[in-house]
Amino acid sequence: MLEVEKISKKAGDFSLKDISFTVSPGEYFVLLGVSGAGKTMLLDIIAGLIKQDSGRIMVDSVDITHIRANKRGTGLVFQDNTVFPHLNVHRNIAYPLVGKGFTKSEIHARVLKWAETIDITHLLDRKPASLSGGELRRVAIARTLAMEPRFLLLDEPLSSLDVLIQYDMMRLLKKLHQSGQTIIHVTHDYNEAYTLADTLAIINSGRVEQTGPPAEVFQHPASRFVSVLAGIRNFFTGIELKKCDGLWGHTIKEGLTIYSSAPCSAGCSIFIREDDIKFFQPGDPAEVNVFDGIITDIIPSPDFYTVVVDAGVNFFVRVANADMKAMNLRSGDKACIKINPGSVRPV
Amino acid sequence: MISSSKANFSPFKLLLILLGGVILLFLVAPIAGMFFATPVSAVVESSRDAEVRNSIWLTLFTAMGATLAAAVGAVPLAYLLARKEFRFKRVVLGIIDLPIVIPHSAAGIAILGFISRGTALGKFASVFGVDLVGHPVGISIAMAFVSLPFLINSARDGFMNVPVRLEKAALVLGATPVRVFFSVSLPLAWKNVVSGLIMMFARGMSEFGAVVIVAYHPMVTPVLIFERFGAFGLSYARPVAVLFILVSLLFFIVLRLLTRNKNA
Repeated sequence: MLEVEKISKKAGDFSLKDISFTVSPGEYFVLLGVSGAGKTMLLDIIAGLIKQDSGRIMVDSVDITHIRANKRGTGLVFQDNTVFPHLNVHRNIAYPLVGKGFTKSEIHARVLKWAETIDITHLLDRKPASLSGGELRRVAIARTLAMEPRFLLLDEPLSSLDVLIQYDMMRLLKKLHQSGQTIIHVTHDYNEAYTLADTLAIINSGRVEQTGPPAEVFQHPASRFVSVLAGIRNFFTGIELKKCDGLWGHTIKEGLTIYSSAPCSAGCSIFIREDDIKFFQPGDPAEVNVFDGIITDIIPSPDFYTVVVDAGVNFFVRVANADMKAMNLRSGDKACIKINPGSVRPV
Repeated sequence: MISSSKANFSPFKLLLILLGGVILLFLVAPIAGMFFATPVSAVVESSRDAEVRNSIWLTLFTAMGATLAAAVGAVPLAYLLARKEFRFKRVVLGIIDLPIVIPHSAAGIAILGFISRGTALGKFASVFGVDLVGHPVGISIAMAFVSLPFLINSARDGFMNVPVRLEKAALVLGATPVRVFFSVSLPLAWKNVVSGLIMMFARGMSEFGAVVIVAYHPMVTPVLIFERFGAFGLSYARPVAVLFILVSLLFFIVLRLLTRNKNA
């Protein structure tokens, strides 16, 4: 088990503050955050490449904070691959095995084993300069796995790869995870995190904002930042809270109050999923949370449209492709939206 | 239709070619003139002269010895300068370039004061029965002093071009810092290190000012050329100079060929 305990580090204007989390054996742990959030620095600290100002790192209750990088046994795959350009793929994968008491044939057997696992046996004699970005990433992963690390640290492993290769790489990472490899993966991509993670930690400005299973984190974002990462754009902070007929009224702007059925406390925020906002149809019963506005933008995507309705604040409404044709919505049209109080979730 | 060469013509480009041509001519003309003015028979005769042959061998050996011995400390120093930031680093860099800017005769005087019998180094050498003044080791020391900046600066540039992330990757893969240096940093900076070694060797071979003060005898070839010119005139000095240039060229071509795809 890896325990990161209250790690702090100041570097220029940026600092990591009291970062703590635990990674269990066999777990796929994803650190999700935007660029500059401190994800890479944190991986470097876990790998022993950067010394933290305070806090400690424990492996199975043993403090490894002061153990040098080359003795830690944590495998780090860098974002820029760092495959040695002067060695061919075979010698790159063999690198962590040389000088560790293995015979030449044992080294060759291990190189073959990992090359087969990562599906790069056909590249073994090639020099890195002749490899594509996806192939280089695979070589870097195979080389790190050859040292049989207890923890595989991956720094943005899917970035700067084209979509098809990303999919292959994602399958490879799932396969490694299923084989029991403990993985700590940092990314800025919400979909990647959601697809791969057993446990997710959201990191923002050097702090962990929320930790938990991805579904739980994204269903119940603890902050505006987490909701933005989860793709939730209907996130509002109330300026006044009042209780009325069993509902909680959040005034988010002068003259605009959204009611929720879930109890809240003063100063709390609310969010509404885009597919929980509906267009008010003639004949629908008048309810609470009905707002008139103007359609300011219609954003297409392969599966649905996102319609932006300005009703004093911008509401983002998801409309299925088929419904869109029937409703004949156009930018500049007047529109009326409704929100079920049960869909208004407090944070 | 306008041809591409005509379309690419510009008076500025012509000016660049003309000015560059003048400089190339300036470099080539004296050497070519010397070659044309020297009969092949005179060069062959010089090559049979034992004094000339001995001086060329001495020059090659002392320059090679100076280069290899200095490399043991110079290459690690270059690595340190490429990787570490410390107080007074600029001062250290200035000290390294010092031999380039001071007159080499002055460098010779300084070296003489450093290796003569009364000094610590001189006393240490005399324990082994060696008087460094007038000795090949003294010549190597003088050569090393004036040519070290070429090796250190070239190797430093080479190490600076090696991405630090590659060294970090090697560390995380379990390599010791020594293995990281020999398996990643040095091979990747190899081209520059070898260039530096060749430049240092070449500069050492051609050194006259510092060497002549430390050791007039035994005579390295630049000193022999000077002596033949002073004692017998231009026509006696030329064949030795031509022979020395040919040997030097041959040596550098072989060295470059031996080290050319090392980093590919």
